[in-house]
Amino acid sequence: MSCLDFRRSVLAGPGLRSMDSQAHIDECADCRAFLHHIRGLESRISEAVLVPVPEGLEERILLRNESRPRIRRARYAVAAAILVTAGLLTQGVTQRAHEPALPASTVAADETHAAAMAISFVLEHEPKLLHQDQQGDPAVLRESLARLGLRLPDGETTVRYLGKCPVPGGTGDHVVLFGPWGKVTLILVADQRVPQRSIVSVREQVAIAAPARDGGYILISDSLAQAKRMEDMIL
Amino acid sequence: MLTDRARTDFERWVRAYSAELYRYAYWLCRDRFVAEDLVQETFSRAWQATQQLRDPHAVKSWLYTILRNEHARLYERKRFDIDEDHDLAELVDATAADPSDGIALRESLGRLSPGHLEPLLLQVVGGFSCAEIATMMKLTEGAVMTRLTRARMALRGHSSSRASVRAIR
Repeated sequence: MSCLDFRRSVLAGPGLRSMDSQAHIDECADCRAFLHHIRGLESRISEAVLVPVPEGLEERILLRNESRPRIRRARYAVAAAILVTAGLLTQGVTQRAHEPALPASTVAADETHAAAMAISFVLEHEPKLLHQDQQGDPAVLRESLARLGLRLPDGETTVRYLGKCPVPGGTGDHVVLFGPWGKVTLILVADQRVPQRSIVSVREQVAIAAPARDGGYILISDSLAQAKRMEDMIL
Repeated sequence: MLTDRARTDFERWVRAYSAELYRYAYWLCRDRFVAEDLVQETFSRAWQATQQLRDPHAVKSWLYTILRNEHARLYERKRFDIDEDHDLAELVDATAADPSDGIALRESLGRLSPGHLEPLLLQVVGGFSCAEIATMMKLTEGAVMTRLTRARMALRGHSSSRASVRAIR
């Protein structure tokens, strides 16, 4: 094997070694040094490509593709619809006593409604995500908000988590905010149509879904008043 | 109707490959949000097409191929002209090198042409052999080796241990 052949094989795959190449480096000090050099480079390349993987990526993929038994889905859909209806009739199934009644724009929703899906995501995945202490880049959040004509809440509010989450037809920005009155989750949906403003109440949570520019936003909280306060701050 | 076994397999694939697919996607598009979308879409398509997977041992290359196709579809990738006949001896004799850190190396990776970066990623991130990369990229094995060689030569400028490298005898 010539030096050129040896070096060509090393550059094509530093981890590969044939008997011929082994025989060559036993005899050729220059190529031995070359191999050492390229392996050092390979080690640095391997480290350089290790960009951080977003927290919760696996869970978001599984959530988006999960396929529950049909009977469970149907039962869940009915439960959601019943709770929403109950909210309309009793004016407060999911609300605190001092809060205003759910408005007339409250909709009966099944589990495929974006707001109902957002509530499910928050209940099932957010507790685990919050443990990851992923505060995200405020500049990225500000940019995402600006794309929808929204703004970052004021200094009284802190961002506890910033990541991605599934939304119907794609992926949204998932932001967990803590204000003076508690936690509110904000999901930003870019480049996808969000129908008219609606309020959905499911599983003791309330979600406000509304269009904004080329997309929309969903605010989820255990209190309608809290969600509305946060909405006032981002609009 | 997918079986519980299929669901279990799918979850195992997600756990095993989502991180490396994300890194592969990131280097293809250099945008972390687009990269995540690509990985999400890859697994969505894989989930829908699970029953089309003939060889369970080929899951990884199948997922990478789906991601490549998704990326190509997204960007309507143009064909990159690559000179496969460049004189390797000339490249091997190159001595330009600057000591650098990981940031500079990442910048250099980003400057590689897609045609050179992609086989390198498939080898370094995916751990695929030249033959497997050739199949995935629809190239000859020789062409893959040449591209890998040129990619590493381009990055060699960031190796800090250049002192011992000499020209070919």
